[in-house]
Amino acid sequence: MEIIQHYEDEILTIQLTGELDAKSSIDLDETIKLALLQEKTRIVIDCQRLNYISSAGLGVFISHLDDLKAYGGKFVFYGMNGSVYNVFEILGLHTIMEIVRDRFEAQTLMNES
Amino acid sequence: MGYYGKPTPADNGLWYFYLLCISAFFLGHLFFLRFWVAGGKYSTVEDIVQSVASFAVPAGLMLIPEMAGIITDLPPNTLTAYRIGEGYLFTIYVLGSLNLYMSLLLMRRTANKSKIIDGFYVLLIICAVLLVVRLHLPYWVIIAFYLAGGIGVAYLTTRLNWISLVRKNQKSSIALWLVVINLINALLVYQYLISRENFFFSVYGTLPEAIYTITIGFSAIYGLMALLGLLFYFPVADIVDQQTRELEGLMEISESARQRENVGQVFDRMFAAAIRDTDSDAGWLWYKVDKQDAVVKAKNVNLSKVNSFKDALEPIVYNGRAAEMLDVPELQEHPTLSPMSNGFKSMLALPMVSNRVDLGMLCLFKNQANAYDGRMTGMAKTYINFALNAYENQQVLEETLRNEHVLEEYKIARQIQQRLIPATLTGQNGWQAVTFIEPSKEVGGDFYDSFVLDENRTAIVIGDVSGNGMAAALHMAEIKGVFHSLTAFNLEPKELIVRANNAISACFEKNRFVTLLYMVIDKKERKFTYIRAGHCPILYYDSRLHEAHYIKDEGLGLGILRDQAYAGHVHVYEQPYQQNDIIVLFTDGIDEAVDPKTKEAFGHDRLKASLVEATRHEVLDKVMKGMLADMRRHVKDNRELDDMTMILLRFG
Repeated sequence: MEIIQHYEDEILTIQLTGELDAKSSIDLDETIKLALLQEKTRIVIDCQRLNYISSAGLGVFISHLDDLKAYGGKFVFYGMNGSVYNVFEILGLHTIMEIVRDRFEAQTLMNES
Repeated sequence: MGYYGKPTPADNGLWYFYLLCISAFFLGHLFFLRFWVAGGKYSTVEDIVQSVASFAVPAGLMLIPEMAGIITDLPPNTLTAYRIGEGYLFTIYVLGSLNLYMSLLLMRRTANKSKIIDGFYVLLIICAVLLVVRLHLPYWVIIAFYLAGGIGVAYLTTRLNWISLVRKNQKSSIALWLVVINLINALLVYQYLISRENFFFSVYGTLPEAIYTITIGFSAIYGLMALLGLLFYFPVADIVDQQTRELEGLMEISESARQRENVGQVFDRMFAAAIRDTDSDAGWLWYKVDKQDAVVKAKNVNLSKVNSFKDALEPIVYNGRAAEMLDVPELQEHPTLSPMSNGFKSMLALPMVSNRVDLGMLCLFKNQANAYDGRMTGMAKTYINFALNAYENQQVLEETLRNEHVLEEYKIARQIQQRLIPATLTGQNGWQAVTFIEPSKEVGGDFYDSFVLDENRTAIVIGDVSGNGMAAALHMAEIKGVFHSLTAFNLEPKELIVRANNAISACFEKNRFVTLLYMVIDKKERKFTYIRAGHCPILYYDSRLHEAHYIKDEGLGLGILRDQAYAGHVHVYEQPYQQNDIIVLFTDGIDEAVDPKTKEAFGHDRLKASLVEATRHEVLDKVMKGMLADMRRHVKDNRELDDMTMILLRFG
C-alpha cells in the first residue's frame, strides 16, 4: 500500500495505491489523524489505484465521519473500481459517503459545500 | 651351541630351594597384585604413590642389617630365614610397585599404552613360568628378553600424563613420598643389581636375572621419572589447576541452572565460585532481575557499603552504552574508589549485561596490589556469562510457558464460542435449515442465531463483526446478548435494528462495525420479512424456475452512523416464498475467498451457479456441502481465509 498526500486549495488529496488491508489501514489512520490535527478537513480520496479494501480500511473512514462533520469537512471518493465500489455499496456506505467518478467531479463537489 | 646357566658356586640345593620359593612368590603376587590393584581400590595419584611407598619401606628396612654387615655373624638357619624374608619383601615390592605404576599409567588410558602394558605382563609371566620350570635358554633368547623389556620400560617410563591429575594440595605429599621411594630404590638397585653380592644374583646371564633386572629397572626408573616429572610440572601446575577449577566452577553453575534453580540461586553459586576460584579475599554481588527487589550478596564486605560502592562504580562500568569490566590494580591510588576500598589493594568489577539490559555487577577484592591477572579476569567473566546464559534460558522457558498458556486460553475461548453459536436453527417447523461456520483463527467475528417469536414466526440473524480473532469474537458475544434481549420485547424489525445500532454504537470502538441480516419467517403467511444491515445479500433459489438470484435491496451496517440518522437507513423488505425454495445466507468470507494464485475471489456469480448446480441433491445438507466443496476447490490450499459462515434454508 502506498499513501501519497497532496494539499492544494485547502483540499487534501490522499492517493491510495494497492491494497488497503488491516496493516496499511493503521498508516492511513495516522495520516488522516494528522490531517485533522492540521485542520485539513476537506479530504479527497483518490481510489483510482486502489485494488482492494478490507473492513479495517472501511473502519478508518467510518471512524472519522463524525469528526469531519464536526469540523465542517467531509470525505469525497473518486475513481473507485467495480469491486471496491461493490464493497461500499453492500455495506450501504454509498448512501452516506460522497462517491464520484473523477477528480473534477470530486473538486466540484468539494467546492460546492 | 647354546649357553646354559652356570652351575651354582656353593650350596646348590639351597639355591634351588630359594629360587623355587621366590618364583612361587613372584607368580602368586603378580596375579594377586594385578587384580587387587586393578580392582579400583586406588582412585587418586596420592593413594597409589603412598601404596608404592608402603611396599618400598619394608624392603628398604630389610636391607639395613645386611648393609651394616651384621648378618655374617648370624647362625646359618637365621641367615636362611633372613634371606627368605629379604627376598620376599623385595619381590612383593617390585611386583607391587610394578602393578601400582601400571594403574597410574592407566589413569589416562590409550589403546597403545594398554597394549604395551599387556605385553609387558605377558613377558613377565612367561619369565616367571620359565623361572619355575628352571629351563635353561640360549643366550640370544635372554638378550632378546632384555631388549623387549628395555623397549617396554623406555616407552612406559616416559608416560607421565597422570601428573596433570595431581591436585595442588596433593603435590607436596606426593613429591615427598616419591623422594622416599627413590632413596630406597637407589639402595635396592645398588644392592641387587650393582654390588651383586646378594646370593640369588650370583648366577649370571640367566633368564631369572633378565626378568628381575627388567622389573627392578622399570620400578626404579619409573619412580625416578615420576619424581622428576612432578618437579618439572610444579611451575605449570598452577595453570592446570586453575583450569580444572574453572571447569568445575562452570559445571557447578550450569548444574544449578539445569536443576531449574531460580535465577537468584544460580547467581549466588556464580558469586561463591568466582570468589573461591579467583582466590579473592572479598567481594560483593548486586543484581536486580524481573522487577524484583535488588539483591546484594557480600563476602568480607559490609553489606551497607555495597550500595554506595555500586553507585560510584556504575558510571564507570556502564560507560555510555557499552558495559565494560573495570580492573583497578592499585585500588589505594584510585581517587574516588580508595576511600571506600576498606584497605583492599586491588579490585575487579564486572558488569552483568543480558540482552543490553544491565542486571547487576560483580566486584572482587584482594589484599595485594596487581593481583588479578588475565586468567582470573577471564575466569570471572566466563562465570558471569554462564550465569547469564542460565538466566536467559530461563527467560526463554518462561516465555514459552506463557505462550502455551495463551494458546490454552484460546482453546477455551473457542469452546465457549462454539457453545454460543447453535448447531442448528430452532423453530424449523415449516422449513428446514443447515448451517456451517468456520472462524479463520481459533475464534472469529461471525455468528448466527435464531429466536422463536411465536408459533408461526421465527427470527433468524446472521452477522459479521469487522476484523477477526479475539477482539471480533468478544464483540460477537456481545451482539448475541443484544439480540437475545431485544427479540424478547417482540419489537417490530425496524425498531429492533435501530435499538441494536444504539447498543452497538455505545460500546464498539469507532472503527469497528457490524454487518448483519435480520429475518423473520412467517410460515402461516408464507413470507419472510428482513432487514439487510450492510450484510451480504440474500441468495434466493426459485425451485419452480430452477434458477437463483441475489435479492436487490438497500441497507447500512450497524455502528457506522451512531445517532438518530441511522433510522433513515433501515429498510424493511418482505418476500413471499414457495415450497422448496431455498435461501442462502452467508458472510463475506465465502464470496471473498480468494484463489491464492490468480487472486480471484470466489464471488457472487460462482456462488450462485454452485447453488443451482448443487440443488440436484435432494438432501439440503448435501446441497450445502456441494457448494462448500466448490468454494474449497476454488481457494485450493489458501490458508489465509476470513471467517466463513453459511446457512441454507429450505421452505416446506
